[in-house]
Amino acid sequence: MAAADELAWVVQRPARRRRTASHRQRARVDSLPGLRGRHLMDASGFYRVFSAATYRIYLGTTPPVEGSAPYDTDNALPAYIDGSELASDAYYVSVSYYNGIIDSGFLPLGPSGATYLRIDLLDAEDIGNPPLGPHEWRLEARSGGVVRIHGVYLEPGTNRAEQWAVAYTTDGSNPATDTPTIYPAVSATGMSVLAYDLPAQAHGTTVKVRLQTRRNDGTVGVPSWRYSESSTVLTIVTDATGPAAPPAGGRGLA
Amino acid sequence: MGPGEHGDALRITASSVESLPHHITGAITGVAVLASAARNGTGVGTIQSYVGGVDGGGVSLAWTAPGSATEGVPVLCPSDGVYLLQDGADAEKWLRVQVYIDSLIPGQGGSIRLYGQYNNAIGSDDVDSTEASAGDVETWTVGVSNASSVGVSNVVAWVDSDTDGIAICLDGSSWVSPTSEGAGLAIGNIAAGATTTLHLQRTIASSSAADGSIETLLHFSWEGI
Repeated sequence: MAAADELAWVVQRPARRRRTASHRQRARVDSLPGLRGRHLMDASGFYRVFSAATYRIYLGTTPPVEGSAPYDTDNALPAYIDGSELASDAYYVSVSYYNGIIDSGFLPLGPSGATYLRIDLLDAEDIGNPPLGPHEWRLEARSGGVVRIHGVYLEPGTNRAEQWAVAYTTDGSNPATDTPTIYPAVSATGMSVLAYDLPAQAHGTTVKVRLQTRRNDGTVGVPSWRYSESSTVLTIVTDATGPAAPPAGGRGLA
Repeated sequence: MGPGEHGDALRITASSVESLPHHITGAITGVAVLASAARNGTGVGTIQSYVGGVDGGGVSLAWTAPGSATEGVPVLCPSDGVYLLQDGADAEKWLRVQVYIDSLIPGQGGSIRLYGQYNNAIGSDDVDSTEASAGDVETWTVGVSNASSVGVSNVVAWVDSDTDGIAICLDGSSWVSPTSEGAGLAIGNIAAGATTTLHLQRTIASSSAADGSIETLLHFSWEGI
């Protein structure tokens, strides 16, 4: 029985009809003026409308940043960009997939999981990429004021480097790019580990090092070096008084 | 105030399960938030515990809805159970909480973050690119359940004026899209514990643009305790 009907029944019932406890309870609660009132409720839910997914193509002279404006969009790959529209330079290309709401983020297109490919254009022609830079590297202060450069390089294929390219300074300035003074050979296997000791310096000398790789795209007689992208510069202060650090963090010392 | 009273009397259900309007995060020790009124909107509200009754027993809880400047009247929670906390400026902005009295400590304050719920019984499913391109009409039903201990009367439903493409009806064919209570769909009376079926229809126009956040918002009014 609906509430309004119950109330009407309570009001209109014959006086002699016996009320049950249940009816008395309902009459008390449901019919008292002031207890019943007007109430409000909302019902809410959300949904999305997706559009057909497209590829967002990013292109610039620096590695693209997620969330920046795409250079172009295409419904399918491969997509083409007219090279004659671009000046001679190094370009970086990234791609994401976008359905109008959710962006995939950049796909790992390049070597070592890089989210971009590099294209080097000269008069609208692709002249190939320079070698990759060091995969990982660091400096170690050795005894006697020696600084050791540790580096790992990995790049199979024809793009691989032929030499490491080491530039360093001892006057506090940053070494210039593409002007090495030391160039150890890179293994022909495409993987190379560098452990190179710089000449000993006086105690407390600030040594700054830039480590790149390079490949000769010319001839032996007339070399034309292509350098890897510029690395960061690492800085270390030489130690000519202390002993050499124990290997492997001191393991084996009693 | 207890659950199923005032604005908590009517609940939207799907297959007899309550459809909640919010994804809720945050709580204070000894309190689990079970549900919140859609009228709270989205955003951050606060829940505050106080020393309980005049005899110092129990703990009281108060709710301040997102955007509200008025804390609700503290509700005494003498024992484990479900309680309804109402905002001080709008009593229909409530929070239904489960209290575990042994863990409830007076003097706690905490933020309750209310996020819009996607793809619940009101929001329905997402619209894929094919449907968005060609256009789409979808119909479904929800239950309007009376969770109170007495009957409610003069139940009226209408569509928020900012909600596009939504129609409602009681018979699955007489679709209307009223945007005011006065012109609203009269559902009538719902006995205690009973459920009335409400039909919903969503129309997506062809060539609809992508949108990551579209809200379907319905309003209800009724008389009850």
